[in-house]
Amino acid sequence: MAHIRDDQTCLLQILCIIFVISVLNQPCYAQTTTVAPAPNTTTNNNTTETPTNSTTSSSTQAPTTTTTLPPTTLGPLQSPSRVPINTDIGACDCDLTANSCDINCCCDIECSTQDKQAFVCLPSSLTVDDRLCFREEVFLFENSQYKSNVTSEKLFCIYFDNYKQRNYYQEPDLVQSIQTFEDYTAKYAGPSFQTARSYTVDTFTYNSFYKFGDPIYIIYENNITQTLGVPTSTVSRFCNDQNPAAYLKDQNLECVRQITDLFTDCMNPGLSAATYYLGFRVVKTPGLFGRVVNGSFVDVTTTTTTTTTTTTTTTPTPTPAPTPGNDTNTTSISTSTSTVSASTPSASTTPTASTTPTASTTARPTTTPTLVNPSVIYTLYNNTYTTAISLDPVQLCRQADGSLTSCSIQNSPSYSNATRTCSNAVEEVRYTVLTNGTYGIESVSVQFVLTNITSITSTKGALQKTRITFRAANVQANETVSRSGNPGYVTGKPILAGTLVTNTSNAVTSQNIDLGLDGSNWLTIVKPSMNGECVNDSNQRVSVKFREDMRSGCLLRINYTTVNSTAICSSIQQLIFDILEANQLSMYVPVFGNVDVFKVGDWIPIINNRPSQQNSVGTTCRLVLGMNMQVLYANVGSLANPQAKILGVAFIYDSSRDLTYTCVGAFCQSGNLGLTQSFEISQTVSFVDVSQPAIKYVGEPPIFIARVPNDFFYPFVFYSSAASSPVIGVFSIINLLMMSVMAIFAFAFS
Amino acid sequence: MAVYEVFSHPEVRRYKTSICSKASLMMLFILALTFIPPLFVVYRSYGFWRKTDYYREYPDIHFKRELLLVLELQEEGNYVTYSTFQKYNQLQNKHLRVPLITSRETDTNRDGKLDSLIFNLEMPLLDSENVLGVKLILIFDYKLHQFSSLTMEGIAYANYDAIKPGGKFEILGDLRVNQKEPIGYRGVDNRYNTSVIDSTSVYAESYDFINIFKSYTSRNLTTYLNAPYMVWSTGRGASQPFVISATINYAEEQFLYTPGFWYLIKWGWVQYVSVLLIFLFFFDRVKVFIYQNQLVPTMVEKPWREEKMK
Repeated sequence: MAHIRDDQTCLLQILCIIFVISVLNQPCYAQTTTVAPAPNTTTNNNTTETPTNSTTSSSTQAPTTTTTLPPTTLGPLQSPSRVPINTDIGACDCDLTANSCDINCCCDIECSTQDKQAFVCLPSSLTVDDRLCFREEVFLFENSQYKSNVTSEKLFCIYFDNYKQRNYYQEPDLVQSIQTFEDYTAKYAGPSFQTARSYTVDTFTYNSFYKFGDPIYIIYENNITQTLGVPTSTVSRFCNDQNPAAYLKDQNLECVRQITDLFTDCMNPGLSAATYYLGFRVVKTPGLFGRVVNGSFVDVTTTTTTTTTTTTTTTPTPTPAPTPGNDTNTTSISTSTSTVSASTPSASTTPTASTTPTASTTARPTTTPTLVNPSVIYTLYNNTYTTAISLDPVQLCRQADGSLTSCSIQNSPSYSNATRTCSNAVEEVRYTVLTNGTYGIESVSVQFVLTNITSITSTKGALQKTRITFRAANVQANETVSRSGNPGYVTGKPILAGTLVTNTSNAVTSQNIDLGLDGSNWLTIVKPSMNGECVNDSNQRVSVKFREDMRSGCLLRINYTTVNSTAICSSIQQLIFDILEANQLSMYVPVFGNVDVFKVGDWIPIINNRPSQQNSVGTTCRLVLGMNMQVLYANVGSLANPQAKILGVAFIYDSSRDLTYTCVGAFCQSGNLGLTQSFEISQTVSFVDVSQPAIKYVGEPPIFIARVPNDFFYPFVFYSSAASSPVIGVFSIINLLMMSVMAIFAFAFS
Repeated sequence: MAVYEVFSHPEVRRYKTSICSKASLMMLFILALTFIPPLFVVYRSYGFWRKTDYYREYPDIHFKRELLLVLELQEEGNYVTYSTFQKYNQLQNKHLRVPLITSRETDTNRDGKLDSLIFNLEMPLLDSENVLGVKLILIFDYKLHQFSSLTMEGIAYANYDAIKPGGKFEILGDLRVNQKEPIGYRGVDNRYNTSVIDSTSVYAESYDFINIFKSYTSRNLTTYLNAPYMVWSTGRGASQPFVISATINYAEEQFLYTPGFWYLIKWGWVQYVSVLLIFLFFFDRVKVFIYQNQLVPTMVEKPWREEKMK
């Protein structure tokens, strides 16, 4: 509380009253109108409302008994007590034990004076900070249990408080109805742990179809609906089988199948191929679930045959809606007028469901054409709108040396006790889904890579990959060509490379580029084997991705005797070149990511500075141990949409180094000279952006003598992110005007 | 008899000339020298335009009662997890376990803004299970009002890995803000008022920690848990749950913001005029010298008559 020490400052006090009352009253009046919730006012007048304990008793009783009883006898006889207005009711809130003295609670009336002397007194209650004025000299000394403390040393204090309510809460009425309760919570409640109160069920109609990102549904033989699982890792690297496949979303997933005991884990369904394609059918379109109402399959055929049979036979087109992008089927529907069996777009695939005589007489329950014809759905599991997963003609098996060979499918792995091997376990699942617009999935095929898990490899768990690719049904797989950009290279896409092939037929010479079957032998760099050694194997290389700088290497092990001979030195050098180049030296690289293989002019040869001479100096080989693959590229096209173009690819070899065989101590003994030492072969990839600026030749701009720095007129100028200089045009006039106004003001001020 | 100055007042002496004269030219030159160089002095000393500035604000923070918890267990690849997202829990059915969560937010100084979150979680575990690591994401609602009306969703991430199985993990820290670019001085900013974890997704990749953090760290304004004081207590006791208890304080923060136009003008004016005053004083003396000594010819009009002086 502020002190006004002498009576002479009465003028100040009057000022203070006026100030306080005018400032404080206004927000307080505003509070009374806004704080009270609107629903509260309606329940306020209802004096017959009962407290909460009556509602619990009435809920246990039958509702009929409560209505027969008069309302006055239902609730307790007392009305709820109200808090006295403008009073601090928590006078002693540390007194938490009735009829006994609370430790350290000096305001507890049950405590004797002797008790209190042994206590450390807790602050009894917080005093209201009302900022009232008082004269300090009034208090000679304080010996009561209450303490006066000065809370404000500011200029003003309250001389007379005519508005005490501002320091006390309003007391809301007790809530008796669920409506009022919800009004309160809607207005004041924050977030809570309660999960969504209303559970939304996915509802499907006959017109439902898959959209990008929807989960793909499958149906088991016992009509249980699930989603097609693609195992992936979630929290740990180990497989989680609950992850559904997303429609039209190509995915490459991998996870580790945990193996603790190979014999028992060999029976793990996750390792058997049957899990991934047998025992269920894929739902082609979720419009199928239009037949499922409230979780049960609705058999419409019995109910609707009598009602609308005549209409279907007379009208020649009881066909489902023509599916976009399926022209052949829609034409067949329009021509085949009499038979309903031809109405389903994929009737040919499952003829059993549609050629039954009931199907032709069955009417569709709705007259408007829908994507799904419900009359051909007899069971949820086996109908036209589900498809079994077919096996790809080629199934692959991983051999002991790591290569893949074609083999026949084994539905479940088998454990051999003799070799302690779990053979034919699933290493990779490759789903290929053919889709067709809103019609949904046309067919699903699967290819497996089976492998043998030995007791040695199983200790770290088995890596399992899942790949799901979506393709339009009307495009053949071998027709698609993957591009690395259109036209400019996309960052992270592999750099194409191929060999130049010249064909001469009928005295006409034609050239084209042979890209190879897959991307594995495009531009690649060396990758070390598991023990770090170099392997001259084209399958063991890493492909070079656009704008990704790389460094890799491997170890070459040679011993003392090999580095002494010139002939061996040159053969080592040849081996190093083979490892680094992998037959890429004569390859051609396209300037853009989408260049046609017949436009040979847009393919540039790889240039190199390969040294021709290798020589041995004394007891050392002088060898080239590394190579840098440099790619020069430039952005072309518009500034807003730059397209990366490769200008050149060069193999830059490191300068040759002496391969010194260092020997220390025991290694120099003659018997140990056959020991090998490791030398690192390194290969790097670097990308250099040589983009030329947009304006290359432009006349020198006239030099302003009063040139100002870039951000001199900062608040007046718009800066664009691309341009380095501010846009000074029309604005410069405004600038000058503003500056001159500023100057005029300053002049007037002076 | 002593003489003293009883009163004084200045007189105005007027120098008159035609527009096209040396005196006018001189005056124009001096005016230019007076008003333009201060601009350059002020600008060259840097900080003329205050493009960014700081202000302090106590944010309005609420714990959204959403969390994602992973307890790493001792056996390889084994873990126990829980989240308030139903779709995530469906994905993790084998590893899912439901904890007891208590949380309260306090406003100790009763200023209407919450000051801290007191969070407690008890995860039931088998006696054979040993907890070696904790990953916990708590999700908060973060609001600013003073300049830009900003609403965003922020996370507090606590990660701890121990070598000894633990029984209790305590976190004491502050929820701080990491700001990469200034916020605006006005307007509504809802750029980051999006869910950090997409709870509607049924796919595992949406709940992958790396995917969550990847999109979160790409934001320009994020919250983080600044908790250097984490205590891992070993010894759980038979049939006892693993306890995580956290006290996270909501701190007043300093925000970088882009001031508005008039703020720039105000401080530009303050700086300009303070330098201008010196120039005005100096060139005023120069002008008095030039015109008093008639270095440029002018007609002098004196406020008194010549004959009266005689």
